[in-house]
Amino acid sequence: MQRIDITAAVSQAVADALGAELDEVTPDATLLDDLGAESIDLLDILFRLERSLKVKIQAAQLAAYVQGGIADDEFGDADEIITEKGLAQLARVMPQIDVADLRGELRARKVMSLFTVDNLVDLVVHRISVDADADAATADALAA
Amino acid sequence: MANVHVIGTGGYQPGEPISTATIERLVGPLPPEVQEGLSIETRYWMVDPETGEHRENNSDMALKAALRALDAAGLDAAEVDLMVLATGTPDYPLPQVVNMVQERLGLVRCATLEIRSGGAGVVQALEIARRFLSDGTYRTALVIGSEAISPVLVPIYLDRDPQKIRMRERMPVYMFGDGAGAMVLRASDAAGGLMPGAMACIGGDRKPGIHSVGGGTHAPIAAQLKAKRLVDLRVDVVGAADFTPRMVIEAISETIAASGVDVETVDLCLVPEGNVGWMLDSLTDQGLDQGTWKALTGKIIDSLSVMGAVGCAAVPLFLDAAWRGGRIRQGDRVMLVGVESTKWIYAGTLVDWTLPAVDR
Repeated sequence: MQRIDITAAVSQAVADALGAELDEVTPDATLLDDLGAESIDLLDILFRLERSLKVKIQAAQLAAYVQGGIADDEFGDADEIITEKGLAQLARVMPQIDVADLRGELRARKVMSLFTVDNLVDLVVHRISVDADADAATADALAA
Repeated sequence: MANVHVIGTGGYQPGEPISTATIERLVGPLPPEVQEGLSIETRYWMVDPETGEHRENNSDMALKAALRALDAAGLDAAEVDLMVLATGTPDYPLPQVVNMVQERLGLVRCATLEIRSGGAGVVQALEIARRFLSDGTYRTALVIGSEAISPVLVPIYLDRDPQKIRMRERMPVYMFGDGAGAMVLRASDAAGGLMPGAMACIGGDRKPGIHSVGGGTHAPIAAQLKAKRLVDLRVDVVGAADFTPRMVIEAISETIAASGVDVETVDLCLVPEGNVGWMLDSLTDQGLDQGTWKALTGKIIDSLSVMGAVGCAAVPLFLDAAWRGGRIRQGDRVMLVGVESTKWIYAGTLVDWTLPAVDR
């Protein structure tokens, strides 16, 4: 599946889940702050993607993907400020962020408010590739 | 001071049970884990789900439940001298549903009250009636809870593509239903009956978990008419799942305290939503599944899964089903808990059940 098709499906899912117009769902719009999504709406978006793209992403996986497997106490300090290691991870999954601006300021609970429509497309592309690898490994195992 | 006994109960739900498959066809699907958490398999609506046409009204359902309760009590309506009705979805803002039921029962003169506290309302009504009966002001009370939520659910999906309906809009359609329940109370010197209850609103600093917006006087009528839907039912499912269990636990503790009995002596505890998946998960997640809750393990009565979320009707309707089904027996100590997630209201009371098994 081409990225353009995935982008179209993600935009449609976001628009339907939020009751928004398609033209409001721009790649750089953040889901929470710009488009007003709450946790129930994120669940709605992921459920719609599961049905349209056959890709299953659980809400917990969304947070895990953003945090990149870094332990909580390494991702944020005692005051919940994101660490240097955490910021480097965030820059990988949300390349639009300005790390210098966020250094020493960004709190863990605000991380998801930076997550954009385009970041979600990246996640879906990533998930599809992981699933395809797993399918290939299963097929290999069965063939062997 | 006389004791106040439950001498009859009645329940009514309109039409045939509506399956979850039907709701899914009308409004679109929910993730399986969300459906499992809601735990509702069937519900009953007084409107035709396909067309939205009314088949009956809140007051019709309330009357039917009242007549069944009077029949179970073996009383003529003329003996009722106090009526207290709880509803959040009346036929009209005024006159009250209670007076429409009064009229149809043929009572020209009767003391009447109507309470608008959602799911806590009927238990509050029991406490009010208990006080009026125990001090001799009145002798026989009819307490009714009735709810008609389906009329505000239909506009969510009628003439709309289910695909375009948001999950937050879909969920109430899966959850809510209609119905009515009633109880007849009478003062007597016999032992047992209702004990003093507890009630509180603990949401004075908390935003509403459910907000029914429209049809009131909060904004100019002209402005309200421009809204997408005349009445919009906004349910904060995440907030409700978080706080409702804490409210239930406080309700149980305060009810035990008000009655002065030991929780171990309680035989059954009726809590609407007390057995549903999201409630049990949340109780566990928050570490609230200990103490009084643990003492009530296996004693919870909850018909939500087959009767739906029916607001004011839940406590008397589920109680009637439990009594008619033989779950509640003469001599049982039964706790009744009603909770309301709009502004976080609870009410609880205990009854030493003296009503014999229903004649079959």
